[in-house]
Amino acid sequence: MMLRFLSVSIIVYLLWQSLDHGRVESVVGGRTATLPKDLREWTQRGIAPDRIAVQLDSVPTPRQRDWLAALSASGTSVSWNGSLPAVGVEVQPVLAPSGGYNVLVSAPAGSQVVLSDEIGAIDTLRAGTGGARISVESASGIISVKSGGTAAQAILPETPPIRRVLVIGDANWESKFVVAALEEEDWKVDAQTHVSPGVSVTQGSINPIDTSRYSAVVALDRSASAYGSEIVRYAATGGGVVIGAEAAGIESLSQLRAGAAGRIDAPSAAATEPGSVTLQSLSVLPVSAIKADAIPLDRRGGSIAVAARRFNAGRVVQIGYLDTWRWRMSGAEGSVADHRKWWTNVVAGVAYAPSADRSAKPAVDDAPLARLVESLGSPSAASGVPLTSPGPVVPLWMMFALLSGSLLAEWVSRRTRGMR
Amino acid sequence: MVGPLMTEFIFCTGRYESGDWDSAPTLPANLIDSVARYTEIATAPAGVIVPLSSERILEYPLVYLTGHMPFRFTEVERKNVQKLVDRGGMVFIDDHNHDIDGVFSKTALEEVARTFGKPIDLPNTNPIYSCFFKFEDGPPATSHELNGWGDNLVHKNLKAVMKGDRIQVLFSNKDYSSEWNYHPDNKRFSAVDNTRFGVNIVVYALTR
Amino acid sequence: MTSAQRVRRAQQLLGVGAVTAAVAWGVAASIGILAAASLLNWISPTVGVATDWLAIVTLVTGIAVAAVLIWRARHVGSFSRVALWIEENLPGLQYSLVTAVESERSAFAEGIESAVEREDISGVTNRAFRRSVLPALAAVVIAGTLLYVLPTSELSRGGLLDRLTGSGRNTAGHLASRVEKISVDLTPPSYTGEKTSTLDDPSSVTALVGSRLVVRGGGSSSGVTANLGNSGVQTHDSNGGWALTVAMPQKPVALTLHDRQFERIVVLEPRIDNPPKIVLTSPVRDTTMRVAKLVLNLSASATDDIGLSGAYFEYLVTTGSGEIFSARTITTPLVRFGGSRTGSISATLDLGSLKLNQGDVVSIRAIAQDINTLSGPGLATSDTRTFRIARADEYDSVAVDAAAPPPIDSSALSQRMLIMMTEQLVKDSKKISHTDLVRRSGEIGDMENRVKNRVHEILYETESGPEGEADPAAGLQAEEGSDEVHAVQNPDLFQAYQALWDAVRSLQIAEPATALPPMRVALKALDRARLANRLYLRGMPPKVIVDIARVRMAGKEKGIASTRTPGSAADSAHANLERRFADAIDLLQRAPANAVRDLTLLRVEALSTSPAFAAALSDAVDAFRKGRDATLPLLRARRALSGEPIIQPGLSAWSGH
Repeated sequence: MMLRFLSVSIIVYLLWQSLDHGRVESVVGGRTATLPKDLREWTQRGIAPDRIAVQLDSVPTPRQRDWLAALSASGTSVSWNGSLPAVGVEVQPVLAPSGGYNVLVSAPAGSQVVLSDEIGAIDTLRAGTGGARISVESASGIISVKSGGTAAQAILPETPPIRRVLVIGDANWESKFVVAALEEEDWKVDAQTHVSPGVSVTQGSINPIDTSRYSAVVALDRSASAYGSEIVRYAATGGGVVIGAEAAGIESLSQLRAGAAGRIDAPSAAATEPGSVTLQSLSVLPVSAIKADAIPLDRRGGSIAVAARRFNAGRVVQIGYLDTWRWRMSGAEGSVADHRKWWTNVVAGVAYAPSADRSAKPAVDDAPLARLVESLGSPSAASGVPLTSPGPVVPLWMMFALLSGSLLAEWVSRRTRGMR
Repeated sequence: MVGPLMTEFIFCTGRYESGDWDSAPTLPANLIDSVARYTEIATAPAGVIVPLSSERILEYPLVYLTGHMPFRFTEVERKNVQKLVDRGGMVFIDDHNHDIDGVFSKTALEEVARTFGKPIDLPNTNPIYSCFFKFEDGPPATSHELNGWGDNLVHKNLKAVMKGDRIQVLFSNKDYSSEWNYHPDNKRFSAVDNTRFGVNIVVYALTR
Repeated sequence: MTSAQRVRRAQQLLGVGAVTAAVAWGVAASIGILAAASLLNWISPTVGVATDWLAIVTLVTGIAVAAVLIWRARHVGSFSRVALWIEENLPGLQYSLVTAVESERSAFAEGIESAVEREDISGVTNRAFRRSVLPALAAVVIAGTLLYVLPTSELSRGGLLDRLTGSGRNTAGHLASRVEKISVDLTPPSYTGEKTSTLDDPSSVTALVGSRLVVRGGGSSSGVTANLGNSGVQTHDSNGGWALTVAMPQKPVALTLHDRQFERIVVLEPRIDNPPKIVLTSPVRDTTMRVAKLVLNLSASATDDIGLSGAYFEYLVTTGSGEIFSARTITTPLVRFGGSRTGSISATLDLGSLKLNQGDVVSIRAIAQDINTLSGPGLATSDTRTFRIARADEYDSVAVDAAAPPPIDSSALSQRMLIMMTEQLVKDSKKISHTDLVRRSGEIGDMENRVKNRVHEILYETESGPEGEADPAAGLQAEEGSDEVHAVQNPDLFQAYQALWDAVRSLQIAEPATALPPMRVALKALDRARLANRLYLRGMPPKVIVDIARVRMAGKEKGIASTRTPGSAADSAHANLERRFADAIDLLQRAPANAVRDLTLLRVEALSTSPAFAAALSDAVDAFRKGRDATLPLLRARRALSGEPIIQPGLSAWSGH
């Protein structure tokens, strides 16, 4: 009789619980450090709390975030607050044979950011306006960026296939050393070097100029005018074009260029001392009357030395520097490597790459704060919710076990009654 | 083609400390004339003479050296010329003696070997013999070879220090310094321009 | 002794016997397993038994056997069970012992005790002790003997069988790796005179090319193989272990040692015997003379990293003109340095004795050779100094001027000092009186004037001095050369001279601040002039200006198109290192041993192309081998290989993608 009474009481209790009538709203709070434990507790208690307020000093892990989102979706009101820096990271492959990655970090200006990968810390930096851009030659595994309590991660992307580069120029030191610089960086180069009427030195077969053959076309000077319309067509279909200072005057390339060629700006005599020539000390044919959609990339004094713009699906960079070979030949120690690195960066900056599938969601947290807001909404103002657990509540499993036990006991009692 | 912006090709004669670097004073003008005569390469009307001991030599990626007398680099000269070649420049050395047993040839080859590595016989199929004018038999012979001057030899090959398939240092015992050392206006008296190989050297240096 | 005491004593003895036997059987079982594994390896070396597992199995088995036996003998702990056991073994007691033990205070105790006393309890107990302990000890001895006889290097240094038969096959099996603990006897080439040294357990060996390396390890040489790069190296037995001998090669290479499944890589890093260096310290400059009457004091100093053999001077005398030149070479006797690292030579050369004619050139240089008898001797030559006898027809040319580099080092130095003094004066000018300013400025001005005069002397130096017998007329002609002509010869010096003029003037009117700019210009010009080398002037070549516009494309012949062959990457080796490093890092998680092996081999390749990377890799490999954290050396290695990341604060609107 007692057992039957117990069973019925438990059933009534559970029924009452499920109807949720008259229950006092349960409010719980948690902190980052205790979140794993709290989540388990809130979930296992049978009846989820009505409100969860979490005070965060670092962004929760994706698992914790999803857990909170699941609680939120199941009817619990989840709110959070905390001063967390918005950090995001994207890794782009450098479209050059030498490889490498450009890591674009968005972080609050002035914040300290630690960049690391599978091996360990790569570097520590202070973010500028919007964040920072870091170029690394190599990295392993997953790139991680940490600032304050936010850690964002990105998977190293695959480098798309790199195609050939076409260099068109007159027979002079500039074209010779541009081709050399690119080849030394392992670019496969086709070249058309004009020597005299009808006589050129060629490398590879130039036609057709399209994105299935070339990652980029470098038009160094007026000898490229013969290919103007093809280069424009190539750029429109996604090709990358580098327009040298002297080629900026080619009429057929006018719709590509970032601006007109200005008046030559010669360096001071001191800057051209042998052994001390740098990129900044070269003569410049500045990019003037810059187009509205063009972006200056490099300035010398008040004038624009390098500018870039998109042209339909393609990208174009216009260079104002003249005779960059002087930097290579008459620069300080390391100028050869600097010259070729600069040229490879210029070409890589516009190089055609088949568009990657960006629809796939990354398997890592590349913008954790954004995803937290996406999952749980914006941070609430400090709510004053007591960060304590409510009074003890008998867990559901315990009630179920008790009920099962009492029913089993009653059954055994009935079966054994006649044996006495 | 001859643009106003790009720097012109300037023929550079290297001045070295140890010998008579200026033994072929009209050769530069003659080659400048030939380059302008056959190509559209932007060319300065006069050559320059630059000491090998000055880093200014690096502004001239093709350097011509000649002489009759002992040829030895000083340490500064050696460093600068090494740098020039390492950075992609080319040095053309011509033995004005036309004598493989002569003091210039011996000392210059010794210096070349010491500075750049041992020179090899340049095959006569090298692109330098076909990059503008075609020379089926390799380096064109000079009158100094054919008239028994110097070592009384017709040299079948030039010598070169290579990096991959690129010539870094071109060494000649042909005595082009004598052969091409005349005022360019006198070309009109020749049935065949004997400086055409000089044009090839310039085109090669500018395009390879 | 009471019955209870007798039983307790028996219990103690039986207990000791049981424990001793259990432990002995456990040990015997362990040794037996070791012997069995050794036998297995001996029969079939290819099977290979992993040492780590074997140790665990041996230990567990031993403990298990001992434990089981102790468990079986657990009843010895019970007093009554021991008493009953005695009763069982001595039926003559007829339960008197049990009775005596259970009822010590009984009235019949005395009689019972005397009955117990009559029986030989200790004899039974001792027999039982012997029966349990002796077989166990015998088993230990047998198993130990077996292990000793079998070729287990760790216990017997090659095994008794090995010693008895001398057979390589018999000693192939070793439980532990024979290539794990090695030593290297390093003997540098004999010409260095250095002694043999021993390196214990090195992961890399750095030595001069040609050094003799004897690598030694424990155990027999049978089954131990070695490869130097791709070629095999013979191993042999030596001093109770194995050994191999190699010579340090020219290029870095991996010495890979194998013993069954074990592998050990030792990186051999050759050190090159650098050629010597020699500097001709006198004469310091070239000279053009009118008459070959000059006695030259020659001196040179040489250095070498290992040792110098000797040095000498070489004079190359070139005679001729036009297109015909001849040359003769004269050398001084070799001065021997006997292996010293530094040395100097000196000689006197009377140019008159060389019978020089007009236009002749004497080129002087010093040559040193080192003591390298293996790949050398390494030779070094100094800069060449040239002494030229001018031709009579050159006397009216500026070329006759001594075109030697001006000895202006001291001027440059003084100039630097004067600039510093002037800068200090400018700083002090507000604090000191005008009189002091004028005085100090005047003093600096006087010193600056002396520098200016010295530069003037060098700039307008006439042919006098050693060649003393100069033609006065010609000397006069040279002296009368205009400033302009001199400036053409040495524009840097001329510029310095002019700047010094300005500086002296400003200093003498107490305007030190105004004097500073020209002083700095002068210093720069003096520096340039100091670095500039001698002109060889035979007259300036004629300047021919080509009329490009007139001749452009005027040639009758036409060139042909040609093709260019692609150039190669500048640093494909670097790219290869980066790729292999990335692969090794990827492998670290999945197969650490293979990754460490790859890093070691990578280091061999990096030694000649990227020493900093190789050094960091070495630290990383050492850390892995010693079980330490390798993060830092790996990070250093990556920095050394890939350089520092390039950081641009801020995000540009143009990412390039």
